[in-house]
Amino acid sequence: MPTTAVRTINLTQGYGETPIIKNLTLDIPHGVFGLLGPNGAGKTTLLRTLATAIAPRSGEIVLLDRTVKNDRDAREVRRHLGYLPQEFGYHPNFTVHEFISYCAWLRRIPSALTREVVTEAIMAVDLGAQAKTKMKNLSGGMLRRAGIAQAILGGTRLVLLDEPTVGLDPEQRLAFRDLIRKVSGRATVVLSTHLVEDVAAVCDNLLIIADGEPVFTGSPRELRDLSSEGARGDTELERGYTAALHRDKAGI
Amino acid sequence: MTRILLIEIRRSPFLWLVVPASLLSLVILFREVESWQNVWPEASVRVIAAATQLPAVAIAAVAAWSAQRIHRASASQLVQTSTRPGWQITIVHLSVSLGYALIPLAVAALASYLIVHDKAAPGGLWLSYMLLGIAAVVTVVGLGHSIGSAISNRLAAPLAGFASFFPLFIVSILVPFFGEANKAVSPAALAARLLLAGACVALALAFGPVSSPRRSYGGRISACVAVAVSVLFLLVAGPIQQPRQPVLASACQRVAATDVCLWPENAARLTEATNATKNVIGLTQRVIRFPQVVADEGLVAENGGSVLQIPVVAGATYESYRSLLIFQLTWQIMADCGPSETEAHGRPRMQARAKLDTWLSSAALGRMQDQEWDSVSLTEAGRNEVRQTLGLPQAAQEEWARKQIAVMGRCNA
Repeated sequence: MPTTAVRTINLTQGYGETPIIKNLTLDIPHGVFGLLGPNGAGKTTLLRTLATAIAPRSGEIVLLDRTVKNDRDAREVRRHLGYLPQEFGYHPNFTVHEFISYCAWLRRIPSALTREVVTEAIMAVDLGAQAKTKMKNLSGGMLRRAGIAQAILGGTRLVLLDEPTVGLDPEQRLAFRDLIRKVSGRATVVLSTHLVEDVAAVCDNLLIIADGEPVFTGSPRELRDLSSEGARGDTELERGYTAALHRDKAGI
Repeated sequence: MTRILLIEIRRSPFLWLVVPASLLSLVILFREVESWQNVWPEASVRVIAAATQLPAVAIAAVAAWSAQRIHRASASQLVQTSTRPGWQITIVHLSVSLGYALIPLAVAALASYLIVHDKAAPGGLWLSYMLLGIAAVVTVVGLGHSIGSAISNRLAAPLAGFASFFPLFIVSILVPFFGEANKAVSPAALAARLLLAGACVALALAFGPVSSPRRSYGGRISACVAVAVSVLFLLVAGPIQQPRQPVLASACQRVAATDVCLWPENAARLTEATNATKNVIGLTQRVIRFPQVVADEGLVAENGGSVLQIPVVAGATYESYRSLLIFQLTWQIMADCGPSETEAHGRPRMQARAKLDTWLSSAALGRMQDQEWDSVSLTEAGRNEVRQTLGLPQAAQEEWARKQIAVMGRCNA
């Protein structure tokens, strides 16, 4: 088994003239990988690029051992890729079951398996009781869980989650962490968040980016070690995070 | 695939439109049921007109609304990260919209079939007209879908409705209004409309969501070119209908010494036509020599002899057939004086024809005909002369009519 699930080589990405990700070379190992950074750091752009929703401006991405050069590569990778965007779009008149089934069809999950994998994903996010509820009638937290359900459908080997815990109450966040641990048994999970405690709870490794450039990569323990007396934050991890943001940008 | 189709069928906004649109098409269809209920081609045209004009405007608007769901839900990323190419996603969505959109046409066709099959000569709705109707529905659905996909604004639905209103009503290029038995769909015109429908589907596919991160405009440009080419083809293909190949008259009935012949499709109107002819023969028997054959335009009379061709009019009744017969008869009596005839010489002949026409029509009606039905060349004095003539004894009236006929036949007055 290869040691990395995701690799970017000199990846540059952006909209218009402004680059948002600058020359990023990164290896994401199997397991749960956290993506931290202030607003506008480029986390969402990086995840959208890894999800193959936007093509890199320059550089290369290798997902699940396949270099994504064209649409065919992208579609092949997407068979094994689940993505929860930050702004999760859904068809409001579909029921939860219909919507997840629709996503399974978009993912080309074989018809014979659809019923089983859809039910499994819905149960995994604890939406079994709402399976026949229309998406428009779900609460914010339930919608987020439905989004996670479509991202972990079937034989997904790479799960990209952009702010997955927004809108979840504390109990749901705990359940979410359990779910991520469970999913990480079979898939690499890349998790973008503002919440340092989520990263500490579930991530094996993490990347902090600021202004499109990496400022820290390592384990949560290594981030804690960066914590210093002067840094702001209530926990060691938060102090490590602020320290990482303010020290010289690290070459990775 | 079946599962996804069922989901799309359950959640399509067309689900709310299909019943009112079907009812609307039935209301439009049955508003003038007596004008098509016994002639297959006329029923066929009324079916497609009823199901594709007003209902199709709503259909186009709902197709646009339906296609906009991706904008409304901000769900483009679902498609952008899909394993399936965008066209597959659009084709499932579009085919459900098309399926629903064709229901009003199917309902109107079924209803008319049930009405007509008891009353008309054996046959059925004409496939060529049904294909025109299907092409019109596919065209407006494809157009609406394209507009909805391309425009995220709420104005897309009314815009799609208007875009369909234009070809359906303003220029009426997609379906005809009347299906006279002596006309058939022009194969070139049908091909052009089928091509346009296909191009509109291609347009909807091209403007649908794409799952490629590299946006390409080649497909969209090609689809726009295909639509432009098919519109051009449609314009050069000519009118939707063309005269049918002349056929030997078969649906005939004899009255006095005259055979009254209609197109086989008009056979259900033969009794009315025969009665109308009998009526006119009765009025003219001592005035003119009636033609041996009175036949619908486009028919070839079997026995030769003098033939009076009657224009075929959709929804023709006893009264309209009689009016047409009188009109044609009076024109046939007119001598052809050639282009050298001056206006001064021609005017009295035209006036005589107009008087004879009004006299015959009024005599058949049993009262003076309403002025709006008079020939445009009939003067006020001429109309008064006819009124006075109608008050004379029958023999005097016939004498007056013979005088008019003499004037009509005199080239060098």
